[in-house]
Amino acid sequence: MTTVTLQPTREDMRIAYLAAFAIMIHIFEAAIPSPFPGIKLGLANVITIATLLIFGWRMAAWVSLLRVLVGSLMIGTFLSPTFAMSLSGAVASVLMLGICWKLLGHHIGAVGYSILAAFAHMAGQFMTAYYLFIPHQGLLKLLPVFMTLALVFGLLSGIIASAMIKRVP
Amino acid sequence: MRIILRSRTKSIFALLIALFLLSACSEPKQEIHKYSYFTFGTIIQLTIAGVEKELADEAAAELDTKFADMHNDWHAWQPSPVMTLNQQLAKGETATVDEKLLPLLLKAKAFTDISSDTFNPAIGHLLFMWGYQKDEQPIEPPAQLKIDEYLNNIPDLSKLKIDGNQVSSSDNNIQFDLGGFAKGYGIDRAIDHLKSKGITNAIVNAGGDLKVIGQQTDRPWRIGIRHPRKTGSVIGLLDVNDGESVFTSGDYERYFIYEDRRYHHILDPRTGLPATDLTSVTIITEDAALADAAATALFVAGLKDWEKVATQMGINKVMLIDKHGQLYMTAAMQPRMQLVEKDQDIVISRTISDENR
Amino acid sequence: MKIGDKLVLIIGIVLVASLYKQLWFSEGHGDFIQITIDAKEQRLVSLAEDQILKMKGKVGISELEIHNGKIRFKHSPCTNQICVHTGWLEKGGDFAACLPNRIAVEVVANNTLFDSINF
Repeated sequence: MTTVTLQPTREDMRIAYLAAFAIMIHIFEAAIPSPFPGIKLGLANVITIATLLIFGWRMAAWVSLLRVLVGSLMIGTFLSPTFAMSLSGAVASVLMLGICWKLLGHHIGAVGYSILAAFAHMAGQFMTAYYLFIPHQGLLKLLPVFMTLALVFGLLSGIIASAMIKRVP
Repeated sequence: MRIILRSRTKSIFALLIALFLLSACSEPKQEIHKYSYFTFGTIIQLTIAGVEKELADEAAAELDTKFADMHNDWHAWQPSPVMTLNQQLAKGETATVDEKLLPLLLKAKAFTDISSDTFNPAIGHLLFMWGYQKDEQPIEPPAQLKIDEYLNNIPDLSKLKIDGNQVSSSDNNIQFDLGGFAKGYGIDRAIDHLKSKGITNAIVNAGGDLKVIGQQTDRPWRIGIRHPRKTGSVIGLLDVNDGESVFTSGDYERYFIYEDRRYHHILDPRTGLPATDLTSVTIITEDAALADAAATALFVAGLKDWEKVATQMGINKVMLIDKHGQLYMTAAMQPRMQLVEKDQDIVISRTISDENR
Repeated sequence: MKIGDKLVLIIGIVLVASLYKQLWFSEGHGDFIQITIDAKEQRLVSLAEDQILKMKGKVGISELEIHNGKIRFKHSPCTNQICVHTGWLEKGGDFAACLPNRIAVEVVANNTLFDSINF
C-alpha cells in the first residue's frame, strides 16, 4: 500500500497565504452594505493583481479562484446565484489577465491590469446575470453604469495594488 | 509532487466545469412566434410566447379562418347577415338574427346608451355618404346638402327593439356598420380561442389595436404607442397586464385631403363631420369591444365631454392628445405611460376614479 | 503609472463612453425587416444595405426603400397611400402595411423597445 502525502510546496504555501488574505478582504467587503445591490469595490482584486505582477499569472489565477471558492463557502453563498456571479466574474478576469500577461507582460503595470481585470470581471458577471437570471432588455441600459463603476474601482484598486507592490522588497 | 499538483489542478478544474454546467441548467429560452395576415379588413398580427411552434402554428391558422368568417358575417357592405338585417330594418320589417350577430347588436345598443350618442354604430348612411365603406380613400367630402339631410334623420338606436332574436325598429334610418367596435369584439373572441387551446401568453393586434394575455417570457408585454404627428416614432411605451386591451383612435389612421383641408375618418354622429378637437385617444381596459367603442366615443366627445363619457362608459385609463399636441391623462393612466419625451407637460384629470374597474 | 497603464485607462474611458452611446442613445436600431406578402410569403431582408425592393402584391408593385438602416414604402399602387404616409421605420417592432396590396413590413431587432405597436 502506498501512502500519498500531500506535501505542500513553498508555492502552495504562498498561494494559501495570498488566498487567505484575499478571502479576508472578500468577507470583510461582503459585510459592508453596498449602496447598489451586487456592486462591490472589489478590493480583493488588489491581491490578485499584486500576485500577478510579483509571482505570475498561474499564481494569480489560483489565488483568485480559491478566493471565490473558499470565500463563498465561508459566507455561505456556495452554489447560490451570488456564487455563480462571483465565479463568472473571477473566471473572466483571470482569463483576461492571462491573455494580456502573455501578450504584454510588464509593459503595463498594476493600474492597467487592475482596470482590465475589473472590466472583464464586470462583463463576466453581467453576462451571467443577463443570460441566467434576468434576460431583460432593460438590464442592458445599466451596463454602461456598471462599466463606469468597474473603471473607477479598477483604477482605485490598481493604485492600491501598485502602492503595495512598491513595499514588497 | 508534480503529479499531485496536476491532479489537484485537474480535480479543481473538473469541479469548476461541473459547477458551470450546473448553473447553466436553467430553463431554455422561450421562443416568440409571430404571424401576420390580411383579413377582417385590416392586418392582424399575432404574437405567441411560451408554447411549441406546432401549437402556435395551428392556433394561428385557426384564427386566420375565424377572422375571415367574422369579417364575412359582420361586413355591412357585402352580402352578409348584417346587410340582410339593414335591408329588413330599412323596410320596417322584423328581422331574425342568429346567435353570432345578436351579442354584437346588444353591445351596440348598450355602448350607444352609455356614450351620450358620441358612439353610434347605426350611421351606415353617413359612412356611405363619406365613402368610408370602401377600402380606398374618398376623394371629396359630401355636399353640405347631404349632411343637412343626415342631420334631420340621425339614426336613433334607442328606437331599436331586441326581443330574443327578433330585431325591429321604428326608425328606418338605422343602418348598422359595426366597424366601430367589431374589431374589438373579434379580438376578444380571438383571445378566447387562444385560451381554449391552452395558449396563455399572446398579443392579438388588429390594425393597431390590441389585447394581451400573459406576458413575454419573463416580463410584461410591452407596447409602443405611435406618435400621432411624428410618423414612424412612438410617443410612449406601456407595459400591458394580462387580459388588458389597448385601443387608440387617431385622426392619422385614415384621411384624405380635399382643397387643402384634411378630412379624417372619425365622424361625429351628432354633426356628420369629422370630430375636430383631438388627434388621438388611447384607452386601456379589459373588454376589447368596449375599448374599441370608447376610443371612438371619447375622440368624438372631445375636450369638453370626454371625462363625462369616460365615466359613463366605465373607462378610467385614458390618454388624449389635442390638435396642439397637448397631452391629457387620467390619474390612473399617468403611472402606466412611459413617455419617450420625459419632460412633457401633461394635464392630469382627477375627475375620474383612480380605482381599477 | 506606466505608459501602458495610461493607455489602458484611456482605452477604458473610450470603451465606456461608446457603451453609453450604443445603449443609451441609439434605441435598438433594427437589424432586419420581415416582409409579409399576402399572409403567405415571408422574407427577411437586412437593413444594413441601402437598396430599393420591388414587391409584387395583389394590385401591383410596391416599392420599399432601405436607406441608412431605415425602411419605408416609397411608392405603392394603392389609392389610400396609408403605407406611404406611415413614413420611415427603423426601430424593432415598427410596422407598416399596404392593405390593398397585401404587403406588410415589420422591423425585427434583437434589442427591441416593444413587442407590438398600437396606433
